[in-house]
Amino acid sequence: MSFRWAREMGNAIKALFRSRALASEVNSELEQHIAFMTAENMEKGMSRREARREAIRKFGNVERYKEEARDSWGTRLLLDLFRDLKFGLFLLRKQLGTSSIAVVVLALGIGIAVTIFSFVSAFMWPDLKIPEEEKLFYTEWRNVVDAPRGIAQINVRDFDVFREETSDLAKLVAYQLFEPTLLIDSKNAFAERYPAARVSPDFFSVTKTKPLLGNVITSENFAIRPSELVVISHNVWREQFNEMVTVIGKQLRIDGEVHTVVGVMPEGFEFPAAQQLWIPADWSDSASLSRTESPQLNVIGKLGEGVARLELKTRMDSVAKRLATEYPVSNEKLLSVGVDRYILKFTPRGMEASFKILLFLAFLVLAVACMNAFNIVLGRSAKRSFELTVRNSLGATKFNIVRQVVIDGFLLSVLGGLGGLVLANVVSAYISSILFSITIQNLPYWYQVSIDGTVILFVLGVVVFSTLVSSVIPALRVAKSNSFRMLKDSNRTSSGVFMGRLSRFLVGGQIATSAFIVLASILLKDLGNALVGLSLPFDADKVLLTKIDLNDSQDFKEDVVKEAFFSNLKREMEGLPGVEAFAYSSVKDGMFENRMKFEIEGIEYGKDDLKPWAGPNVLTPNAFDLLGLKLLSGRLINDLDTRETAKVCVIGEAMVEGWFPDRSPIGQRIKFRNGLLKDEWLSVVGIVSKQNLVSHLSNQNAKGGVYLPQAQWPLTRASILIRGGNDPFRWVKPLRESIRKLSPGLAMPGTFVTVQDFVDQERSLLNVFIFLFNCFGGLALLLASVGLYSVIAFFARERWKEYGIRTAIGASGKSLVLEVLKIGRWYVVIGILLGLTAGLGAGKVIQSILNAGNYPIALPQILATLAAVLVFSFAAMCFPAWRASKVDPMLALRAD
Amino acid sequence: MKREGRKDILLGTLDLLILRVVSAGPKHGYAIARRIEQMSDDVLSVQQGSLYPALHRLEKKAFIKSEWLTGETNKPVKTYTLTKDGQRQLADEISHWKLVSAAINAIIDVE
Repeated sequence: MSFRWAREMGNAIKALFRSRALASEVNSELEQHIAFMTAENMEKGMSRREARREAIRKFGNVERYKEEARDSWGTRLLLDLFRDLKFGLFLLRKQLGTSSIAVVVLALGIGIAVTIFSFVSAFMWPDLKIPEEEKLFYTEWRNVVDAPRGIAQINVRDFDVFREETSDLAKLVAYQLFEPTLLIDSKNAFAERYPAARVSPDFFSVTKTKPLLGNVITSENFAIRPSELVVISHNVWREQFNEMVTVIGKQLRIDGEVHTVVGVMPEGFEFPAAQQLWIPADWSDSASLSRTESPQLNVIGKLGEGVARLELKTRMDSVAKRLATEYPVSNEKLLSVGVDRYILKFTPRGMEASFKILLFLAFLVLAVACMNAFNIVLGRSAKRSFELTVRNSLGATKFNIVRQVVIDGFLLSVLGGLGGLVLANVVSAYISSILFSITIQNLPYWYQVSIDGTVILFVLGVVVFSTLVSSVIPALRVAKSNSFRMLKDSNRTSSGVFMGRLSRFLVGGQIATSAFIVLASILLKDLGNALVGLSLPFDADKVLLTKIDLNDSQDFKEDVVKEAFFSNLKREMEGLPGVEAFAYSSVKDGMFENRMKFEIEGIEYGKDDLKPWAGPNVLTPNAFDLLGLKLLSGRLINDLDTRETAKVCVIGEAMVEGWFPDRSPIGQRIKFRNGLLKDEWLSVVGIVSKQNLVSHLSNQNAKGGVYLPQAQWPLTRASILIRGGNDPFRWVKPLRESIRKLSPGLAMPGTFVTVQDFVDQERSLLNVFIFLFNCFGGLALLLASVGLYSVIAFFARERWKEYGIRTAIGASGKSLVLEVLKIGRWYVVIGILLGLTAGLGAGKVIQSILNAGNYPIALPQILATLAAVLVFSFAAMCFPAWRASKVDPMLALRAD
Repeated sequence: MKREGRKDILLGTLDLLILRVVSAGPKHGYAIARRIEQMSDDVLSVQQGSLYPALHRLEKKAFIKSEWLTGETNKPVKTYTLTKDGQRQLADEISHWKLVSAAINAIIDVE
């Protein structure tokens, strides 16, 4: 077996590193050849000088042979590349000004593109760390508003049918999320809450994740001891069991019931979203329940080999239609299911579209940055046009020249890319801090904005892209340029040939793009603030918010017991010195409503669709004061409203504007169509001031809250609001102690935040969007100014000599300033016009995304954009104009 | 005395000739060129322009290796030696050449 290949490769690599030594060896070898020839000639009787001359003559072009000999080593291309790189670095240093502008501009563009990409990829293309995750899907009912149950989840009975009838296409599993308490009897600790899932027995078969210890739940172990098992997460194993290896078989209480640990999942496994406990669910006893009463499930699954989502959907739809005919009472109008990518289950609707817009804008900013780099590289090449042309004439191939200019662009892009990566890291960290600093809900485990492998790959792609965009066209131009014309050009920089129509067009494009982005960002900010501008009418920092759920506990089967617990806890807490107010509210955050349809007495609604929406909120009388809701007319709810008296409600001002425009609502009666309040007429007794509601974001039909007395509607779960002193968190411990005193087995409330925290989190995504749009707007303006500056400066520089002469013969500085300013005026005007038109179009899109048709796009926003773009453009042109007016005639003439 | 009408080396055979000449013992570039001329009775001449690239190519392919040796003149001279791979390659090329030249001769000799 020959190792010739290895040796050959070794030789080539050696040659690469010994290029200098090799070159000198070639020289000596050829010299030696000539010496031998000389010696031979001398033997023939020639004198030494004659002999050598003859030898050299006969040998021919020594230099060419040297080149050819060196070429035979095959390192020529690499050496040239290396030389070009070295020259590129030299250029970078020599033209430090333009180099740094180009690098900064590219770093900004690449930085923002990478940030957005990492942000979007965290949500849209996350790494679930699950094999074959692309086959995962979730399914739920579609168009459920008119259906009898109005719920998108699929009930147990329907799930069974779907599972059986689609078993050849996909594996369907189901789960229910809940947040139980976990207590280990042997440990003397507070009960803790963990997000958990009740899962169908074969749930783990879709993830195929191997447990770290023990087993997952399987149909086999489920059959032996249904619903007494629990699989715990790595977190729970660490926090509750100190990573004890013998944890399998240990017992713990979940919502009071004993479960045996059968398995521990590996670190990071929190499927389906943020779950820490998995308990097999036995839904078999719901077989006796009617379809309307049987439990609702989240259904997910994994597609079979080669099965498309659409194929599964078609099958499920046909099953749904059959169910609708067979069971009209429960399934009427439930005719279609959605089968979507799994992660979209956790992505708010409309977010996908917003992400696409973000990506689009990021690329737009990147493109503007690349246009700048393009003009800068073009300008640099133009300055070197004389040199490049001479090289071309002396025989440098087009390829050589193109390569050199492209390497110039490549170096700029690489430096820009590195800068961009650093920038992206900083900005991503900032975004994460906005998004994830307050975590009230349990966020899916894959929500992590980070610079990962995909992102790095993206950066490389972007660098190549920006190299190509910024340097290939300039390079081709240089290579193509006419030598004669160039050499004749007295300016030696041949502006006419270089900074042609394309550059001017690009500058116009940059200004248009920046005007567009600035207007879009102003609009988004204004609309966003108008919609979610929560100027809360109370000091939200001082109100503690938590929740309590009596459903978990076995001790609260009856309404009376629940009622007693709530009033005892309230009395207990209000008895503590320092507590100013302690209130309950039925909605999750104390303020924002869950919308429901309702009707007003005496109004005929042809179709259910036409009924208005409102958010009912069952609360204690003192909650009005706590939430800053001011009475406008009528009366508030008070302690005289009890279960025995007529059912009453207070409505928000927005309700009046929306649904009682022409008559006083006081004394009118309204009725909700489902839930706890179903079919009870409620008399309106008062009107309170309105809150700016987050729910406006999702639906503009929600016209405000309807407030009901807690005394008339027994609560099972409630938000607790506490105010007292400057530090609301000081009430956490007393509250936990009071709850333990009243009901030792009851779960402690999970999270404690202030109302302000909650609002911040509700707004966090919007805040991120606004922040990003501001970045886009600011960057676009900056980049466009740089672009405008570089082009104007280039043109002004071209006419340096002319300005010098004009100054010398008495032209005023002012006239020269005007002259330079005039160069740019049309780009600015046309750019602004185009940008504003496009921006207004984008405004309409933003309006429709935010459901903000009511908020008009007005003149001030357009004027603000106009002013911003004008100021930046003017500033960009001023510097070259000022320099033109200060040209020293002597210097200008000497520089030639 | 040089003959008129000396032929340049046939395309593609220079490597074969170099290997053959070097197989007789280590030689420097000039000696290789001269040896080819001598052995061919001055029929073939080697151009310097193709000799050195060919030598370097063969060295890169590891068929020959070079050393700087001190010769008669007391100056270091770059000398080429055949490697084992080179011996194998030479054998291959010779048999190939014989095959081809026999075929060409056969065509020429017809009629």
